[in-house]
Amino acid sequence: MTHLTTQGNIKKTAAEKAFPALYDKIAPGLPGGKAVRRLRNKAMEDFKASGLPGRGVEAWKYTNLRQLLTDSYPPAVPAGGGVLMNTDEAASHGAFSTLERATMVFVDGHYRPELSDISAIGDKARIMTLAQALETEDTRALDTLVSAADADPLINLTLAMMRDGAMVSIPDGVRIKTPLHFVHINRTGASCANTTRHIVHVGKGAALKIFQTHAGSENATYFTNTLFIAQIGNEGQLTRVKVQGDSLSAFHFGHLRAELGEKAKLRDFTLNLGGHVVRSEVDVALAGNAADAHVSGAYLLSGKQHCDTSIMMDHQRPGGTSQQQFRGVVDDGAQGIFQGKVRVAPDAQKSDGRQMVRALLLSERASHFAKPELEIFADDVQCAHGATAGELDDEALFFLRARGIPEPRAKALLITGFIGEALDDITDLDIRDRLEELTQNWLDRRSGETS
Amino acid sequence: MKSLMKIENLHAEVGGKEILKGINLNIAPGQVHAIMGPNGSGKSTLSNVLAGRDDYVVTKGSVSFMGENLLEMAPEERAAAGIFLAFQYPLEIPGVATMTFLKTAINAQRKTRGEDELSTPAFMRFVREKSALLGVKDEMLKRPLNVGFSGGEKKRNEILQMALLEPAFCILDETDSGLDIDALKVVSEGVNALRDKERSMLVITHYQRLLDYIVPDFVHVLSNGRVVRSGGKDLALELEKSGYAEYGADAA
Amino acid sequence: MTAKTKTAEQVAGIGVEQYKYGFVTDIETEKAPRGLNEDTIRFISAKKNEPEWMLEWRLDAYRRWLTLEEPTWAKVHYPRIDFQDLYYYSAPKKKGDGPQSLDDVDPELLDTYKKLGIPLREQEILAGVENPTMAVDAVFDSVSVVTTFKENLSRAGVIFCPISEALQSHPELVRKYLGTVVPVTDNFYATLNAAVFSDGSFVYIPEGVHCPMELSTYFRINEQNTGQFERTLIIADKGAYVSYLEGCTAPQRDENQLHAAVVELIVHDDAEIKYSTVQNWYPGDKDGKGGIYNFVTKRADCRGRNSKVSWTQVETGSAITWKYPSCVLRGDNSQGEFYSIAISNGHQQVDSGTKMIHLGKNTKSRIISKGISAGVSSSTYRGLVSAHRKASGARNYTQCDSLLIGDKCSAHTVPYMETRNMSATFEHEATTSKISDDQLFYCRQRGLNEEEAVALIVNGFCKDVLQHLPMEFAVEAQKLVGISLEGSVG
Ligand SMILES: Nc1ncnc2c1ncn2[C@@H]1O[C@H](COP(=O)(O)OP(=O)(O)OP(=O)(O)O)[C@@H](O)[C@H]1O
Ligand SMILES: [Mg+2]
Repeated sequence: MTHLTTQGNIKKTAAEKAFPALYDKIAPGLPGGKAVRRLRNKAMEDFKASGLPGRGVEAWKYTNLRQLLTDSYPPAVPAGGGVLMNTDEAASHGAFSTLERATMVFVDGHYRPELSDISAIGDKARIMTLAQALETEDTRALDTLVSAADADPLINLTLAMMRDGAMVSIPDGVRIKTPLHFVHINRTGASCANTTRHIVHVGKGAALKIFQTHAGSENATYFTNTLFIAQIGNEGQLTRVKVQGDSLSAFHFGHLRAELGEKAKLRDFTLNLGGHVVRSEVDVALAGNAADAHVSGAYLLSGKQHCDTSIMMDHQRPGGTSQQQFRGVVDDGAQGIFQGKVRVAPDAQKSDGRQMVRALLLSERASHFAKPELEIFADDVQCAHGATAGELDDEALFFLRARGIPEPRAKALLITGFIGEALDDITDLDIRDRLEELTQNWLDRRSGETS
Repeated sequence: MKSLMKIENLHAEVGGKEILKGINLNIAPGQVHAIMGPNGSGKSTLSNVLAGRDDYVVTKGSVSFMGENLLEMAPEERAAAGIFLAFQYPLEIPGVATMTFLKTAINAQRKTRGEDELSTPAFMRFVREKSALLGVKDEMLKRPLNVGFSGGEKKRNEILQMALLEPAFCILDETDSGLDIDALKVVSEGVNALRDKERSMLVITHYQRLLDYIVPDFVHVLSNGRVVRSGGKDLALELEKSGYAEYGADAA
Repeated sequence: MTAKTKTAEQVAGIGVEQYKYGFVTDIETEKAPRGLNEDTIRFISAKKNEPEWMLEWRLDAYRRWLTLEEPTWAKVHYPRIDFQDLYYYSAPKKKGDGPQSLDDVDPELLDTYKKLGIPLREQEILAGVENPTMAVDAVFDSVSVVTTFKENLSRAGVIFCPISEALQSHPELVRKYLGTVVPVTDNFYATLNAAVFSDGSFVYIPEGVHCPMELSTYFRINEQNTGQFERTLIIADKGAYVSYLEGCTAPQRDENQLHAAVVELIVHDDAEIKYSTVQNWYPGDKDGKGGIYNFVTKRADCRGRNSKVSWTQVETGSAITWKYPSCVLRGDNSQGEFYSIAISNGHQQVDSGTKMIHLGKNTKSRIISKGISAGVSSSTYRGLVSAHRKASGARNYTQCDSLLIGDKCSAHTVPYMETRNMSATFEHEATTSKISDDQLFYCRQRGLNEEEAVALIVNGFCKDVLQHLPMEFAVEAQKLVGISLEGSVG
């Protein structure tokens, strides 16, 4: 029962050795001057010291990367250039391609201006790429990088190896209607590691909506690691809808870290469909009084997928409200994991934190692990969580069949309804429709396989 | 005139907002005063202030009760001195059987007054007798206090407590709302049974109907934190017809 | 100052002063030399005249323990324990050898228990009631001093005696079951216990027997710098039933004392064990000085079909509590229950909960946990519910509520739910809040003072658990809930 925080004295896995080796190889080509280089080097040193999260690291209890990342990543360095297959592109714009939006496209972690179009936002916001920001030593970018430093090995990897990303700043009071879409495309071919960081500042009273999609060529093996840093000023609002549709052989690490000012609002929804090993992390700091965060999502898993959703809701100041609403559907031999914590700091009186996770198991071999956690240091609070796991409700199924609905259809209906509960916060019906469509596709594919 | 409770120029704030803006009322032993007035005019605030609720801050004025300064007393001291508030929204206390609660309350008050505690059999007899009068079923007394009680049942339970505690001064905050026609009668009878020449009552209601049963000596209209009109029981009839428009409020 | 903050402050300022069991019994004792090594273990084993295999078992555990590190994952903080600075064996000196009759027991000891409300002289008990319903095993520091009503029980075939005695009288039973639920290798404290345990209760209920009395063990730590390492082993054979209670107290001392117990329950087909604890070890003074470190491993193995275990605990004492009474639901249709009230005040730290491991088909479990924190204490519920591949139809319902009194305390909820079977149904609910001002005002309007109001509301909050305690204990526990939070009189 020993508690491992640093694993310096443990034999390194192939992956633990491969990342530093890769870093040494690519570091000279990565953007940024000396200051950035120092940050990168430090992060890589920290990574070497900590290694990947393994057994005994509580925050990664159900995702032992020392075991799951068996191969050494990555043997090849993608150029990021070259032709993009039409199918790849279409797939990655995916569900949102019909909606009006501005786009920033990242192929294998490189920004591709010729595929992107931010004209719909125009000069209402300050938008550049992270590579540009690093090259010009943009102070805001550097400050953010420093303040986001963390002991987490995956975050250290994003800092050491970040190649590109979006750097968006919405001035105070500006409310942008057109959503901004971060399109991540990972191509078929040699396996690769791509690392991006997005930095988004939403000014006081400003508003922004972001789509974030990830897609990859079918069966391509790659490692993608993205850190999204959001700072929302007083009374500002950020909405993010993320659809993760990476290849079923991919490793996806996606982390949103948001800091909310006074009365700031965050609405975040993540749909996890793809990936072989997925860690989907959202850290929210309710750093201003009466901040308000709703973080929700759904995961639809099959085959041998392993998908870990970890949420931290940190009520640092009084009067904050937070909600977490998650639904998981786990089929075949897949594993779904939900860890969610509500923390209320000593002075954060009148906090209200709610959390609900429900999992549906569709197969004998499916597993689900939940760890909903409350950590409360203030007394005048209302906090609650609930968690359930089980199979489809027999009675409801029977009822539908008795009304003449064939079993697969009845099941699909129930599952859609189940997922729907997590979509309650998505008020934009167009977006909701798209997400429901994705759920439906997943179900159709599933029943196509079983029938 | 002899006075049981005398309220003078009472000002009170809730959450930093002034709600009571100078209330004057003089209630003699045995009198029933009705208070009517539009929603939000401060009726419940007045009853909470009299019962001594924490977050209600008296900024000016005085209240004397049986010659004592009421405002200096803790809520439980006021209760022991004979102030009873039948709440507009009675609270639920999970896990605490109604019977246990009643016994604890009665004995706590007796103790404060330096009286002996009631023995269990004596207490049971007392409760059975009063609850039968108010149509409160035995089964209800075993359930946790007010948990899962219907709106009307909660109100009856309030009056049952009043009957058991035999207070000197009863405040009924909209005890009639939520009661069906028969229950209104039963509850009113319960209240009337408690009327005597020593005991006074402050009856808050929106409806003249209650005052047909519990006939008041005086009727006051509260609007925007002040008593804007006082009269006899006929005032209630008049209000029923004309509403509160002339008192500077939206029709109630 | 609002009444609310007043209550919190007053509640915080008390607790420990009210500890009624803090007296010391002045009695001559026999101790093993201070510190821990193989000789200490040989000493203990020899004292108990144990068979060779038992000594080997202990030494094995000791050697393993040397390789282990103290766990640090619980949300509790305390200075490192110097395991070489403790006494591992302390027993009241007795006249002569062999099992003692009541007449041989030092009257000082019997009086100690009387003062604690536990009469041990059978004639005294019988003088008080016509039909005694409870038999008591009294454990004082490292040894059992007396067990009452042994005769009555043995007529029903029930074995109820100190485990040291069972090693003499029923070695085959002890050997068959000891360490089969909590293996020697289980965890740091359990391994330590295996090496140095001195006494505890042994219960065997034979097939088909419904134990005619409640069995109870009363633990008392008296000696300074002494660890208490008791080991309890209860076996309910097919169709048997027993209700077992344990109570604990200790004197008020400035230094911390270690209590590291192991309890193993074995439940065969159709059998049931109901295990209730009222733990009221000395919690330390108001500055957090002294108090018992209560590091306990309790586990039940529901081996048989339709077997059932129910743990009920009221934890009000100890400076630190680290305890997770668990159920391994191995037999098909077996059931596990965990009902817990944990009250922490002053500087107390509690990290407690349960594990329900569903292995068999149609196994059921239910967890109701009520945590109340006051003062500057911290209270954590930590629980695991898991359904393994073969646990088709497993069901769990968990409810965890925490109540905070005052703004210096904290409450944490850390449940783990692991489902590896699609037909398992787990439901978990948890809430954390404070006593509502509205409820307090309502009670005070009816004449209760703040302290009475708090006690009433807290007792209501605990109701779902209290009702699972045997009658005698329920009343005591209810009072204890009041006492532990006493002090809100204005
Ligand atoms: N905690 C509070 N903070 C701020 N305002 C409050 C608070 N409590 C009550 N008020 C306000 O005080 C005013 C008087 O409320 P009160 O409950 O006394 O009205 P009422 O006359 O009893 O109304 P009703 O007929 O609807 O019961 C209302 O405007 C109410 O919103
Ligand atoms: Mg009102």
